[in-house]
Amino acid sequence: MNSKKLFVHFMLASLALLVVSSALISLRYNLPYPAKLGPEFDVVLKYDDMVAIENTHPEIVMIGDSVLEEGVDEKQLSEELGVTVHRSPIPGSGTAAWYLFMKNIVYGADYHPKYVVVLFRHTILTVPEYRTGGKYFYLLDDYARKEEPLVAEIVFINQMTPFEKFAEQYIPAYTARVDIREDLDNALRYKIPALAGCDRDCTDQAVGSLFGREVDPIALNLAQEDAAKVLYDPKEFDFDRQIDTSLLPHMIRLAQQNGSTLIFVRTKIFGPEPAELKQYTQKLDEYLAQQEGVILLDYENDPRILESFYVDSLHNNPYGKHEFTSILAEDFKTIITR
Amino acid sequence: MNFIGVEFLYFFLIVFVLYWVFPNRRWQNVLLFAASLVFYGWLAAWHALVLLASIAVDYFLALAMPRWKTRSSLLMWLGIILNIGLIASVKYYLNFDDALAEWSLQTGFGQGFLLSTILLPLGVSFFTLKKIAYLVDVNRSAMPPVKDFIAFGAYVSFFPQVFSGPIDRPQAFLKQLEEPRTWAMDHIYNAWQLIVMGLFKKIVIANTVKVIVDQIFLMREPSKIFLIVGGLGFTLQILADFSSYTDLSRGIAFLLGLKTSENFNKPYISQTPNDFWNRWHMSFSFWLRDYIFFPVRRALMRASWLPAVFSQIVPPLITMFISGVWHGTGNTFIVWGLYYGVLIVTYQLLGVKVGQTPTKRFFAWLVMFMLIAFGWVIFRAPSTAWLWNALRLSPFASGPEEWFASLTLTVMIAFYASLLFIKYILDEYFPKITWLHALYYAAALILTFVFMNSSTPDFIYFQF
Repeated sequence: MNSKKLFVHFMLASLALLVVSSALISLRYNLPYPAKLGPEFDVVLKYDDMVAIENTHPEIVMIGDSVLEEGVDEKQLSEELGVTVHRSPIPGSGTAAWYLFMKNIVYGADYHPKYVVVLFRHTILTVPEYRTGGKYFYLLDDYARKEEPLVAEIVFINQMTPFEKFAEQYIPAYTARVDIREDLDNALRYKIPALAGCDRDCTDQAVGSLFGREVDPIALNLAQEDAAKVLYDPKEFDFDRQIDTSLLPHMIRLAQQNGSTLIFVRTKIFGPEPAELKQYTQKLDEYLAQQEGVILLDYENDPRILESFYVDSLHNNPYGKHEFTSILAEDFKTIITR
Repeated sequence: MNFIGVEFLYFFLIVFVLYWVFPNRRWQNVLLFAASLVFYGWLAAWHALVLLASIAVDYFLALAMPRWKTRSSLLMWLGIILNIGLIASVKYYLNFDDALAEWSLQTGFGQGFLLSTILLPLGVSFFTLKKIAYLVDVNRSAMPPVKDFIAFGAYVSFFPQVFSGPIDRPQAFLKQLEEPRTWAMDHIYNAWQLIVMGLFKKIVIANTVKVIVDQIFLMREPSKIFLIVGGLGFTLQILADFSSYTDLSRGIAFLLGLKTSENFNKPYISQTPNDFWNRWHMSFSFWLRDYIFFPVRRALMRASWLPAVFSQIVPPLITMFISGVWHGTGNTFIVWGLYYGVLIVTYQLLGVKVGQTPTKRFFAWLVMFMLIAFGWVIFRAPSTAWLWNALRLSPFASGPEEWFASLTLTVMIAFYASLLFIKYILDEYFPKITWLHALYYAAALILTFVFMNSSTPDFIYFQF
């Protein structure tokens, strides 16, 4: 095959496909051209937690990812402290979801808690883009209002390269990529099983059961270490550079404006950590210490927390959950009674 | 620095412009060597120093060989031991030795535990094989030692290859570095197909199928039906992932006016294990053939007191065992290597050859494809205990839910496999219809845009 001819044909075919696909995709997904930079959140907000907060008037609201879900027992903590605690774990979340949750749910409610507790680890607090792409976007969408300019700017637009900005605005195949992929996934997921008598619900349940299975701890540890690599990217250790482009100052501002004390809980991890994290941690601790209405509880090197509490490098087992909740209760008591 | 990242794009644009603005052979080689060291030392400069030091040692050892002919083999073995020592120390020892890891963590050696244990091994397995090939070839006078240190350094550290190959032979690559290179549009004509396919296979196929595969291999006790689906998924994922890296590597090399080795030749149409290894990771399997298999077989054949069958059985077993060890530190890799050793020996002893009739060819392919997929299950399993458990104790399927989940996932895997199958059909049956191929590449490009997002998981072969 003549390579020059193939190249010319490819350029022409690409141009033609780009024009045709742009027109079709713009029509199908109702996109403006050029598209607006940043995410398109829907108007629907997940209100369950807001309703619960308004109904129970908790003194403490806890936010975090699966580590919170597996690490803190809400009922036990409430009983040991003698105050109402509302726990809102969002598995697979990061600071973008936590910020939105604070802004729209915790402080969107008529009642504001006295304490907001955020469980974190590694460099999560200063990596705003962590867990915001692909399927994680839907998680953000749950807690976002239609317009979220700060999150759009910090989490999305600031993270884009000039090429991504161009593609986002001018290439509809890229702009609508999340929706196109969802449509494609749905077509692949539901069409054939439906022929075999398994409808949408049946397929969702079947696939959901696979993705909710008990996992192998060794494999899970490897996967978690793999995921942690994002948080260990060399640039993420540069605290001074990261802090200004993160959502952390905005989370603190929100708490201060709404009269809550913000308690950050650094959880313990059993696994290798890079030496650079030490310097980063020191700077983060100094920064938090300077902020009004902010308390840091650091369990990273706490001897009370044992490896036997853990099911993998991050998550507690039921015994560990009970023990860690007791330790938290003990430390919260000193804060509450101050 | 990852090929699929804006950092690399900027890096490459700078190298590309500087490379062609001054089309002087010496300058281009200096630039290639310097750029490769920058690329390799991007995360930690001392990685580049290790690479530079190891290049210097082999360079001087090879130079000394013709001058000190009686000690030539000794020098070669010294070089081989140092190279294997380098792999062993950074890849195996640091991974396993907790005390050293702790010391590394405490002292900040190598800018941290993660960098020293996980990131440094990247590429070591590949560039040491290049250097061993060079030492052996110089020792057996297959080529003279390279006098130009810069050219030798550029060959060993060549940035498009340094992390995951292909493992180019010194003779072919160094010859190109000795010749003048001038800009021609042919460089683009040769490169673009590889770059488009590399991005397409990685972003659209490998990254998508990875989600399914990871989930299955995360399960504590998968039933056999999930193991089959996971195995098929990984069979597709590893081909798409690894061949995409090779495509990108070759495409980038073409843009620099250099032709590098192919690594894959439709490996999944193989009919025998030998056939498979002649098509899969070719630069590595040819390396194994020339520097392990043949020397071992020659040595065994010379030992006339040994039964002849030994020279048939032992070389494939040793070669594939070494292949397994090279691939990783877990038992699964060793079992996977030995599995292929046993397969090759069995096929040889049974006298199984490529089928002569279409029916025989089809069945030979079917059997081999299943064996390949099972091999990938061993390779991908988190541990041998996990695999043993899944094979022995788990049920085939625990209920209708598992059947439906498997069906759904198989449909998804089949869809992504069909994207590669279409390419195969075009290459095999419509090789001359240019517009059809152009349309395929254009569609691949658009799909790549659709599947592209900010996160790009590492290439699987970065770990080796």
